[in-house]
Amino acid sequence: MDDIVIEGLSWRYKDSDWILKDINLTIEQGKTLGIVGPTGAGKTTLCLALCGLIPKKTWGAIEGSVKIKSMDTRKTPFEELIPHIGIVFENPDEQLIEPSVEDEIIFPLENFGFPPEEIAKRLEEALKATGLDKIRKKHPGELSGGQKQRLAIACALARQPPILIFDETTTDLDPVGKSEVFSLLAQLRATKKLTMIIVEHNTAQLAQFADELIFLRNGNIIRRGSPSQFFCDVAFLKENGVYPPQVSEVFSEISCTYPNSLDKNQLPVTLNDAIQLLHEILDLEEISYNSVAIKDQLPSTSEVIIKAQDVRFTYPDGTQALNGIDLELRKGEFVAIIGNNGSGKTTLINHFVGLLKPTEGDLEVFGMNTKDVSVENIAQKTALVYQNPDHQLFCQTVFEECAYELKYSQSGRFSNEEIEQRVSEVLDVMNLTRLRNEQPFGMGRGLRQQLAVATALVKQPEIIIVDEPTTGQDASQAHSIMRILTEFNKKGKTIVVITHDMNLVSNYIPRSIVLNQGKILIDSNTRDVYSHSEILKKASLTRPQVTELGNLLPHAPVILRIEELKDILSLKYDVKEAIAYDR
Amino acid sequence: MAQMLFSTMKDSPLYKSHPSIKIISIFAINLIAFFMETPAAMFLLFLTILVAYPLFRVKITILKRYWYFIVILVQAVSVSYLLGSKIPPLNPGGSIYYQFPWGTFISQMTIVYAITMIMRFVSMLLGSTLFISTMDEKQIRDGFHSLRIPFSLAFLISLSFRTMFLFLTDMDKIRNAMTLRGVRFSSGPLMGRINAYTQTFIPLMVIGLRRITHITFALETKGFRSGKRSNFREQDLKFKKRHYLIVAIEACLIIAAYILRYWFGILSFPGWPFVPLPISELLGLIGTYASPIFPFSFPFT
Amino acid sequence: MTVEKPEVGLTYKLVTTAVTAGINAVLALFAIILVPIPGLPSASGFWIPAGFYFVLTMWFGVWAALGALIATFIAMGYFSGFTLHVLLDGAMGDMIAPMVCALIFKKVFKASPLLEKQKDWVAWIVSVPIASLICGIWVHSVNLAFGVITPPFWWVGVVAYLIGDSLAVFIIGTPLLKKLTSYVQTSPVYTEGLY
Repeated sequence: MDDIVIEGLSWRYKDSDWILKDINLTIEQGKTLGIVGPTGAGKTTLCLALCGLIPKKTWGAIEGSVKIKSMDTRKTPFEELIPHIGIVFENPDEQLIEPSVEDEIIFPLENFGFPPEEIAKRLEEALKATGLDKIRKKHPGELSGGQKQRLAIACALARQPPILIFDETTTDLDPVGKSEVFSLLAQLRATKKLTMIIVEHNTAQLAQFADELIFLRNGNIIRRGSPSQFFCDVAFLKENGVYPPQVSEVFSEISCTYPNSLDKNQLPVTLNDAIQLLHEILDLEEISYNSVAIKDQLPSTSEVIIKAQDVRFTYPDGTQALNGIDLELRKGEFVAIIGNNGSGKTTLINHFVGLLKPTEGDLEVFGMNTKDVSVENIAQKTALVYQNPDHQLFCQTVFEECAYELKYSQSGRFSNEEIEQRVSEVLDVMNLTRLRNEQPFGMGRGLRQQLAVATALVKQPEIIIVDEPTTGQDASQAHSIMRILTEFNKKGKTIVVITHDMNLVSNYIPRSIVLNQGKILIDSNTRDVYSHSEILKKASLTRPQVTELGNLLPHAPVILRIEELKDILSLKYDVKEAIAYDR
Repeated sequence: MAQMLFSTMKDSPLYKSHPSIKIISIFAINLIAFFMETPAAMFLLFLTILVAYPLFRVKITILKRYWYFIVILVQAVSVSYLLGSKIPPLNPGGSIYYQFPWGTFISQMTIVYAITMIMRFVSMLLGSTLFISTMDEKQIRDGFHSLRIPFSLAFLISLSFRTMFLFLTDMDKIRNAMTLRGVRFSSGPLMGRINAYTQTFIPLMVIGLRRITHITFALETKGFRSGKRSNFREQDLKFKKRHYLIVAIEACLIIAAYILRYWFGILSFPGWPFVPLPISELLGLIGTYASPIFPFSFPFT
Repeated sequence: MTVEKPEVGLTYKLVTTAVTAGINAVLALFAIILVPIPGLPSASGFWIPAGFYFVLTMWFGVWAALGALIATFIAMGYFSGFTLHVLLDGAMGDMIAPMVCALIFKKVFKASPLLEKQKDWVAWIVSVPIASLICGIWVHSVNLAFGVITPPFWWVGVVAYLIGDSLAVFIIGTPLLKKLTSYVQTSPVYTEGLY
């Protein structure tokens, strides 16, 4: 039986273009559907349509129908639809409204009129299932990002609706947090036989988990299939802003280069499958790495521009966020600061720009002790891009937003022509030229994030710090931003990035600093950092799939990039192909 | 969110008492203080509330925050009454300390009246704080809901606190982000600084507008207002006989204060006969019974 | 294909009230700390939230005005206690003022918050001071009734309120109204009327 049937669904918001165009989809009971697509494809809009918020609670125009358990969402009152659906949105802060964890779970159960005995029973079940039973009395504001997200899931779960929708629920989580959420979902799927719809940019997790995947682009479903079918056309996916799991990409390239070696339609999509395949097709002992060139950037020897000496910081409420940080950042370096949620990453970068001053210890930026200079002084040479672009955009147009600092804070330094030239260049680089006269707050989240990056780049600061550049971005946009930052780094700018995306770090960032509980666990080149799996585990980080695969190869160096693994594996295939040809 | 306002005094026996009773008590104390004008009675009320603090194990140090308000209040009332009143001495022929050219004067009763008004406000403040400090936002909500206010309206209170917290965090981040973008908040000419703050309001407003939609969606999908609501803690919130007794006592006190003040003049300021304000004379046009119902005694006519 | 307005139920409106209350409470706390008035307790010489709640009421009607009441009660209560005086005085006043302004602006002048025509500007310039004056009269009458001030200071308070509120609304509210109205009109909670 089909839980959800969508026929010819098209939707547009008031005064916008069509966001969903002629969607036809059925989702069987008990199945898990993954939805992928570039930013702006209509994924969230589809989720809203699946739960009835569109059209009941949203202003727009609709064609076609959505039937949930045979109830047409256009004709059935919302109050009759919602008992069958639970939905977890991206931002947990806007979903948590009660003063404690257990009150939060009780709230929807009371709303749906469950009797007190039933509420008590479901409360315990939900707390246990999500691992929140020990913190049931805590205020949601005191929880970490991962805990908040688990709480949001617990609220949806407690009602035990037959259909659950998860809209990018792991965006802000560290890698282990993401895994935990997916483990929980796997458990639910096994025990409760729920129908689940998951929107996710992290294709590696989806691949393990989903029964079927759809690709949404410009409001249309352009691809559909099981994970192994879905991820085999790697080039197509990447062209359209979706990066498949690294293992699929690796083996896809191998299957293209050596067509006899692998069945292109049976590529591994999970790490375990890839490991198994690797063992099947290779004699791992025979691989030689001599001719594989693995090049790392040499450590910088330029001047030190940020120097931290035993920096400690305690917030007014007593939280000790930094516990003795010693580090040096040199001009022209490209550094990633990684670590679990709550490790002190954002606190540290706030120190770099002078927003926070150390409680103990000293921090010097360009030779100035941050305790002795104002934020405004440091801001002249630094730029910080926040995780939420809405916190820093306030002008009427995209152009004005980029020009603001050049015009006002450094007034007199730039002529109008210079400002026009600089802004136009940056807009061009960020692919925002066509939007120069648009209002920033009317744009999508991904575009706003790009604009926020543009406002930092336009003033050409010495240090650019970016906090989670990939939030709200699809993989292709994320890589695009990283490439732009790499170009700026080549011009001698120092770039500092906070991110949870270990793939991006391994592809673009030569130096990594791992934080945990306000301390640096390791500060070294990324390859060296990735070789310390125990340290990464302590910081709730996981290595990219290619690194894990590469780890199976005895005596191999730590693999960071797909090209490196492909090169190594190709060595073996050269030998195999030669043998096959001789025969 | 009570941490925003106070540390909730969970050790106090008042913490476990019925939240509706606490809300009614706040209202009762405020009304009684409003009706009273006699210095002695006001002082008694003030003392009673003050003694209630250690009695109910509520730390008096939570009143530290209000010192500034109390100082400003004393200043405001003093300036108002010293410069702008004509309160005659209690006994005819009593001394007037100073007469201003514009007709107002200072007498002994001016000072007594000013002190009485200060005590009125401080009593209201102490009384409200005594009960509010033993309530968290959930209790405030449950308290209103138990008083037959619809859950959705009572829920507004806790939702407002929640959004306030979110916006406080946002405001901080917005200011920081703008400081880094060169907006000057603490230096430069006044108009420049006002302009700087004005600019923070646009992102705050935009975030607020988005939040309306997101929170609404979250509430709708949690079944808010989707039908008949149950109450997990309904047993805890059932009114018992002692609650009705307390409410009855408080109602009697309010009525007594009203009657003593406005019908018998016992709680009026000493030496003043019942003197209706001009507004009640206007209202008296509506009917001869208007003035007893809308009495405001004022020593200025 | 016609665009249908969704059922904007009470939830949307209540959340509008709560969000309005949240924003304004933060700004009110800020205003009281930033520009206190000696002699007038828990008041501010530049009532920043006025700029917001006048504009929010213009967009969302009575629901935003209710949010202003809650916000002022929370903010003033934080500094001067959650008393009946605070509820009737500043909190009620801050609900009455924007409603009066919206009433005059939309029903009397039939103007548009987009402030595109001269008539709209005239309506704005006229309705704001009238609303501030009415609010000032209310607030200081309550103060008079509670015995905080005496009649000579009643006038001082009303005039100060008129100037302080109007200034804040014109300085903060005008750019918000001009810049954001077109964006806000896409929201289902936006109202052409008062609720």
